[in-house]
Amino acid sequence: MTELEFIGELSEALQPLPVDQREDILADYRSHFFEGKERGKSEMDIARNFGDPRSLARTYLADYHFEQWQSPSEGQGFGKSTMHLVRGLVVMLSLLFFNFFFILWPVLALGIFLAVAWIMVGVGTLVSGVFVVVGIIGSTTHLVLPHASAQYAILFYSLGTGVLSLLLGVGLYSITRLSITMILRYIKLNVNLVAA
Amino acid sequence: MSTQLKKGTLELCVLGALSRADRYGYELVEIISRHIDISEGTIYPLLRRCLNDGLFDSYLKESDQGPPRKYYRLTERGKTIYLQQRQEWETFSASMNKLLEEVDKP
Repeated sequence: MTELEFIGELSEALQPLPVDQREDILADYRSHFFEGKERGKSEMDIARNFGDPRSLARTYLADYHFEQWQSPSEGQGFGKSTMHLVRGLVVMLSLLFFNFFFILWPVLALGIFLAVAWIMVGVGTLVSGVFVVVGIIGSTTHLVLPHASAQYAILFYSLGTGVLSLLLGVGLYSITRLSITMILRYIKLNVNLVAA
Repeated sequence: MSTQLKKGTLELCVLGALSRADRYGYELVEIISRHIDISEGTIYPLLRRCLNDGLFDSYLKESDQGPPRKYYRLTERGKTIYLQQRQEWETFSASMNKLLEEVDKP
């Protein structure tokens, strides 16, 4: 990453800060780049030593919001200072799971997909179960339908869909387990990164 | 050395580096990273936090080459806190050494 790219990304990520504070922070990094280059270091090396500009920005944002919450500026009501607390906590959380918002939507989509699939498997199993019972009762007592062939058709058809639903359920169970394992592993990885 | 331990003691490093002379950001980073392997990205947010907490103040000073440099200077409050933290650190590290020696005995 070049100096321009680094400063650009940092500036972009610091957008929520008041202009004067943002410029103040950027000036620190600009002068660090200047001093480093003066001593013969490359822009790439300096940028690498700073790490990811976006996570760096989050440190500043968290500090800013908590500071605003503790000592709100003039004319700032209770609502606004509470908002700073909430935003500070959100930034802290995103520092903890620093790709959290990046994976939030895929995880949500996966969750919805799994929930819908589970409902479908559940309904499928239930309905075919009811038809199996109806089929058995019908084929033994001849109460439901007059024709024997229709009785057996219903019985076998519902047995078929019932077994299919159960098989889908087994498959879905392992997919769900795998997903939960992956998400937990991801969270652990992030916690370790922050704690380490 | 674990990062956790480094982060906890970084403030003391900065206060110590400023105790005898005012210094600018790059200088501070150089002094600290000469002894402790730490990401340079953690130092500037810390400097800003210390400024906000009133441990130092800052002023601009012309430099021979390039734009003016931002120097950091310990305030009275900063000096008090430095002495306090240093005392705590020395007590702690002495106890720690004693403990480790004792553990090593057969």
